[in-house]
Amino acid sequence: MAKILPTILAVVLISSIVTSCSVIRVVEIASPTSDCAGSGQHFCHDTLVRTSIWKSKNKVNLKSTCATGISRVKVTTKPMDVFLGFLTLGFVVKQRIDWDCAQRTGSGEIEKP
Amino acid sequence: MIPPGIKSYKPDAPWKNVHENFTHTFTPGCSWLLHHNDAPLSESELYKRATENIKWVIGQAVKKSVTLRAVGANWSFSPVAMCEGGMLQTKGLDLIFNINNTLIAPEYIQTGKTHKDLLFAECGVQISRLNRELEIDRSPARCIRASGGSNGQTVAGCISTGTHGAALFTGAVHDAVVGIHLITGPDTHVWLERASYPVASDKFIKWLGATPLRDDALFNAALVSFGSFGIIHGVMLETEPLFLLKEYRISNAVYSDELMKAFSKLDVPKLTQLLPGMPASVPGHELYHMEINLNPYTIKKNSTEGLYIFLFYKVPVPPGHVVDHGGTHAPAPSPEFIWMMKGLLTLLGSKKSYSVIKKLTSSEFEKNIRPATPEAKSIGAIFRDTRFTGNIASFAFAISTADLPVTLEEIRKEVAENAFAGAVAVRFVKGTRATLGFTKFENTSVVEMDGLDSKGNHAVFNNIIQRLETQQIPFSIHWGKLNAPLNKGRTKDIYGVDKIKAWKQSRVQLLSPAAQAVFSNPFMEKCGLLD
Repeated sequence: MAKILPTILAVVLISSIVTSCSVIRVVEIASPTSDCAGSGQHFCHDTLVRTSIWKSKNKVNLKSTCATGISRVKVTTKPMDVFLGFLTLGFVVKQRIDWDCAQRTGSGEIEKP
Repeated sequence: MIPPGIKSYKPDAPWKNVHENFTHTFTPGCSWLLHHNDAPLSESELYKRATENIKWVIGQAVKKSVTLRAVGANWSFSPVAMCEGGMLQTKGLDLIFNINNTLIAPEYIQTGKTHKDLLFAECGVQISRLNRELEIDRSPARCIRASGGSNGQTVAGCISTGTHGAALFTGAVHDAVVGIHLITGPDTHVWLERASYPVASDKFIKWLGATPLRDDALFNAALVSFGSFGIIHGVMLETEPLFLLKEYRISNAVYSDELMKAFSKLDVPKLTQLLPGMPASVPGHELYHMEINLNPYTIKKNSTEGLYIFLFYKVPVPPGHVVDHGGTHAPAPSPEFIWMMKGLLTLLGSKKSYSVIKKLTSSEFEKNIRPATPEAKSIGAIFRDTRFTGNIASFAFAISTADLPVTLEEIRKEVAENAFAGAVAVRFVKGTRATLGFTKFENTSVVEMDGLDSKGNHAVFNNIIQRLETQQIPFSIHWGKLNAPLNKGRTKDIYGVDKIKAWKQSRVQLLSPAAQAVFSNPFMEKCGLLD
C-alpha cells in the first residue's frame, strides 16, 4: 500500500489540476454582438478575479459596466491558478473573466418626430 | 483634451485578429475607441457627434504623422485592415436610422422604390444586430439581400473587404450599398452615391453636413477599399421585404462532366434534370442561393462520393411565422480540438501526416456537413454566429463560373499531391460593380478552402494559385481572408492596369496628401496600391 500511495496521490493531484482548469463560455443572447473588439479570442472587456472560496461574498457585477446589457461571458481558469488554489487550500483563487457588452437594439430617427 | 465620445485605447501587444491568424503591433498612444455611452443626446445628435469625433481622431493622426485604420469586428483573416500607427475601434458606433420620404432623392422614388427599401446604418453595426433590427424588431419585417456565412462582422468591415455570401442572382453584401458617408480628413467628409442611382435628398446630406459627391467611379472605387479611402461612418443599404429560404441538400449527385458543364453555364433547367431531387425554380419558390461542398479526398468523376450541394429557394413568409435567431448549432470542432490537431500535424510534418490528414479530414467533413434545415428560415436565422472558433484558416478565390470544372480538377490534383486539412466549398455570386471587388466576374464562383491554420494548408493555397496561373484561368483573391499570394504583380494581373489606376485616382481625388499618408498601410504597398 505504501508503495502505491505516492502514485495514487500523484494521479489525484494531476487529475484535480487537469479537470479543474477550464474555459466556460456563456452566451446570453442568440447572436452575440459587442461594443468593441478584443484581441484574438478575447472578448472586449476583461478582469482578473482574485478571491477565496472561504469568503462569504464572491460577487462580480459585470452588468453595471454595460449600458446596453451583457452579450456573452467567458471564465478561464489557468492550470497554474488551479494549482495555486489547491496549494493554498482555496484561499487564493484566480480566474479571468472576459465579457462583451451588447450593441444597442432598435432604430432611431434622423428628424425629431 | 479628448472630446466626449472618444476614449484613448491601448491595444494588446501583440494584437491578434479574431481567428488568430496573425499578430500585429500598433504604435503606443495612437489608438482610440469611439462610443455613444455617456451623453443624454438623441441618436441623431450622437451620430453627428461621432462624425466630429472621427474627424478629431484623423486630425490627431495627421498631427502625429502616424497611420490610422478603423477596426470593426477584427474579423479579417489577413492584415488588410492593420497599419503600423493606431487603430480606431468603431464597434461602439452602432446606430441604425429609419429613412422617411423627405430624406430620399426624387429620382429614387421614380425608380418605384420607397423609403421603406432603405436603412442607414452606422459603421460599427454588426450583421447580427442588423438582422435582428430588420427581421425581428421592424414591422413590417425586412431583410438584407446577402450575408456571409456568419454574422459577426460589422457592416463597414463587411462591405470594405467584399464579404460575398452566395446570392446567385443578387450579388455580395456591398452590392446592396447605395450611399456612403465617408470621413476623409480632419475637416472633410463626403456623401458618396452613384450619379446613375441617386438616393439621398439634399435634406439628408444637409443633416450629415457632408459634401455631396454623385459619381459612379468614385462610389465604385470607395465601395471595396479596405479602409484606404478614410473612415466609413455610415452606409445606406437597400433591403428587401422579409423572405425565407427553403433549404435542400443533395448528397447523391454524380460528379460528372455533364453536371459540371451545367454548373459552369448556370444552366438551371439542366441542373434540375441532373441533380436528384432538385426542385424547380418557379415564382414563389425561386432559386436564390447555391453552394457546393466537396471533400477533395473522396470526390471522383462519375461517383457520388464527397459531393454535397446546398440549394436555398426564396419563399414567402407564411402567416404566423415567427423569426427566431436562437437555437443550438450542429456540432463543430472545438477550439481545443483545432489547436490539438494543428499541434499534432506540425509534429508529424507534412510528408508523414498526409494519410493522417486525409483520414481525419474526411471523417470531420462527413461529421460536420450539416443536414438541410427542414423548415424555411430567414437569412438572419440561417447565417448566424460562427460555428467554428479558434485558430482556423480561410482562403477564398474567385473565378468565372465558366472556369469552375477545370478549377475543381486542379484542386483535386493538388490535394492528391499535398495534404489539405480542410474542406472545399463553392459559392455562386453575381458579379459586382465595385472597382476592386473580388467578385469581379459577371458570374462569379467563389472557391473557399477552410481548415486548419497550418503551414501545409498555406502551401496548398499558394500552389493552387500557381496552378490557376499555369492553366491561365483568370482569378481574384478575397481581400478579407488569407491572401498571402497577393502581391503587386498579381494585383495588377487580376484587376488590370486601368482599374487600379481608376481606384488610385479616386483615392487621390477624395483624400488630401496628408490623409492619404494616414490611410496607407503595408498591405496596400504589398499589393502595389500606393505608388
